[in-house]
Amino acid sequence: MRGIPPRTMCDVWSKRNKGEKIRTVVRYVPQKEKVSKVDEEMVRQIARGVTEGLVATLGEEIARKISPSSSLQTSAAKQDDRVQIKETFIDPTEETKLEYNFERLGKIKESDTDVHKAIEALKNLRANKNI
Amino acid sequence: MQESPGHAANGKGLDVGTAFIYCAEKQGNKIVFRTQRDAFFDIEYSDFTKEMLNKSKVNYIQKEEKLYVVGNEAIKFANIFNKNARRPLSKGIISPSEREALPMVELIIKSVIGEPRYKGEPVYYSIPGPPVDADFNIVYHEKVVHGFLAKLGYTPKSINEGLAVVFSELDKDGFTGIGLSFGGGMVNMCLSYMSVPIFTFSVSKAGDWIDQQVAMAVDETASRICAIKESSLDLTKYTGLSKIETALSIYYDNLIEYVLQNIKREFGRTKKMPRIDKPIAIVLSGGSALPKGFLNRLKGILAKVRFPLEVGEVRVASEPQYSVVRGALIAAMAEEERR
Repeated sequence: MRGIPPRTMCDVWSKRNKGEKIRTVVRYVPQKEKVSKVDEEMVRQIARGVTEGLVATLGEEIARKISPSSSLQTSAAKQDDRVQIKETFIDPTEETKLEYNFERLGKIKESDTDVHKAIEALKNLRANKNI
Repeated sequence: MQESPGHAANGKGLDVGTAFIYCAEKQGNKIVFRTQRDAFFDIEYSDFTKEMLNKSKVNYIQKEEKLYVVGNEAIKFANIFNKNARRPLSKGIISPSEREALPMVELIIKSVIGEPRYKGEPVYYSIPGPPVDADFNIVYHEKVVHGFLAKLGYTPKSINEGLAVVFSELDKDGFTGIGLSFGGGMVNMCLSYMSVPIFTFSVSKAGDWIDQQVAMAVDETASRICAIKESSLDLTKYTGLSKIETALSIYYDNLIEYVLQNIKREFGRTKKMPRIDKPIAIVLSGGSALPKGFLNRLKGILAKVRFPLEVGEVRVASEPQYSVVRGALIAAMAEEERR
């Protein structure tokens, strides 16, 4: 468990690639999973040179018990190994079938406010300043 | 849709606010504003409910097994059911928790702004400044709204909300001064010098924050507080207030002080402060600046804050809720006339 806080065994980061409508979810896989004491004992027995039959049996047992973490470890042997999962980004402009009972929305208000002077002033200012 | 602008070359302004969406366009000699409250209230679908809404002329959107009442009626429904209306925008941007509402936001924007009058008609839409007190950016929001408008056939351009206020209100001051927009989700600030935005930022406390704080203080829903705030709040009064009015008054003062302290702090940090040789004007706008007495409250607090710039006139815009969209329209029309 060294280096990985218990509550963040599998942290997830996401980012949206520029210009792509996909999102990459980057999962950081735990560096190492703890091997139980039983498994360690089996490993020690194998190391002591027990019979071939027992080796085979124990080997199968070890494989069965630790294979989930083992397979992760092989693909994530280093701490920086990343598993990339690409998700489909929901395009907000995608057509969605909506039924609705209006054409135009909004309360209308008419105003006699003169915006022409402001427009002229802004145009002149920006032309003079070359903004 | 026309291919070329002809004589009707105008452009449009769009204020995509947290509480309201505003559109402005010139029609003849008049400016026509269209306003839509940006809120939903969802109810379970049934043929009877749908028929009832149709008969009552209540606008709704049907999505899957839900009916979403749209606009002012959403607040009314929320108050009847003693719940809060849903808001597709939060703190000035598309709410991260309301992503399923995106097609509905698109539909509302489309229904407010309408079709372009000619292909590629320019539209300036407001965006908030970078928030100084929250950890998010506005890129996603800006691009999504840009996409909505481009899809409709417009040529969209974004404009900072505070700068839009400057364009709308400070033409007689040479577009120099501070534009402040007190909206629903954010307060936006822009210090402009001769129409150039020198300094822009936003704070993520505004009208909605007041509603939420007051709601918690008096055990009411934010939607109900919002309705009271918009209909009858008078900030000139200090005595004889109800429990809700007292809480609103306290949180208004708190918000104004928070905004001014943030401006002071951010001005203190910047290295690009211009040397302006005369006192600068401050103009206040936005729906949260509407209550009677708001200006005097702000002036009172401003007098106590050691503001880093010499301040001249402080005033509220003539139509505070329309300032941003009016400024966006001015920007669009100025650009169109230059072409």
